[in-house]
Amino acid sequence: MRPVLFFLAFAVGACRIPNPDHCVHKDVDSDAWCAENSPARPFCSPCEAEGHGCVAAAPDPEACPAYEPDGTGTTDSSTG
Amino acid sequence: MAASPLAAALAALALAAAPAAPENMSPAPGPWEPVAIDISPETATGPLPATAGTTRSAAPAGGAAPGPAGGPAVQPGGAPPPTGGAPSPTHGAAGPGAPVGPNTRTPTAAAPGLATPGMPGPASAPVPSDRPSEVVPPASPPVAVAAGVEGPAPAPGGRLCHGSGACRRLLILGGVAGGLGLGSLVTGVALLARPLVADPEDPTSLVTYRPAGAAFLAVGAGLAATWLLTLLAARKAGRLAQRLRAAAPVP
Repeated sequence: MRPVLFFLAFAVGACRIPNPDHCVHKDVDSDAWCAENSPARPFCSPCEAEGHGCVAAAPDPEACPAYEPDGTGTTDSSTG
Repeated sequence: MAASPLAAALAALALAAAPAAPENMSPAPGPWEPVAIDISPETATGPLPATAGTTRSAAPAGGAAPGPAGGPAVQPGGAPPPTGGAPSPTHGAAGPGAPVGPNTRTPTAAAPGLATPGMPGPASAPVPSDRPSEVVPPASPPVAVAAGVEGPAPAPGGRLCHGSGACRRLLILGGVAGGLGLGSLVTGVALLARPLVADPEDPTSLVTYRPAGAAFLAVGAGLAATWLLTLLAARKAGRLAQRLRAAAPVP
């Protein structure tokens, strides 16, 4: 039974890797990178995937708690 | 035209003096069969055909000048060839230069392979059985007996294992390994072919199945190699079992 479960778990196993195309991983100052590359959307939202994650308005901390403005000190790096 | 009755008389005389055909002579086709002219009705009633074999036997009796070796006889008085230029079917196979005649090639002790079907041997030697296909019964009944009754019984393990249990177990194991390996290979290829997608819960991450696909490919390759090696081992075991069965005394 255990080998079958291991096999199934291994078969459906997926890995999560950092999205190198997202603004969070483009630069330490992600908002600055968005302001430089897309001035119409100067904020980097970790809750958005389109447009390298750059948005026009600052993300709501309640709706997107992972957002941290530049200069707050912490960087997001998640791996699977 | 006055030589025609004389030629006919000489031919009849030569026919009477010609040696009788051997009893084992048969009209089977073959390159050396023109000696069958001795029993053909055309030769018995018509003029003598101009072949080397008949020329040799007719020359001393009729006085016709013998031609070159294997060539047509020279008829006295410039008579045309008796056959009228149209060779009979039995004589058409041998040309003028063909070695025709009973003494052309005879079986000897040094070269027994020269014994030609339909050709008698020396007069003192007994007539060999030159046509074994006519004397020996057909070989199909012995083959059926040898395949069905004689010899060891057919192996119960099939054509590959010859009754070897180890071979059968190896075949089963190899089949299981091969099946799993094939499945692993297919799964690995399918996982490797899946594209990278962004995680809907975390857009900063991507979901990939490539590591799992690579692992499946590696496992599948190993299982395929196992299947191949197991198959080779089973084949070797089967051959060993076959050798042992062949060497075992038949009760």
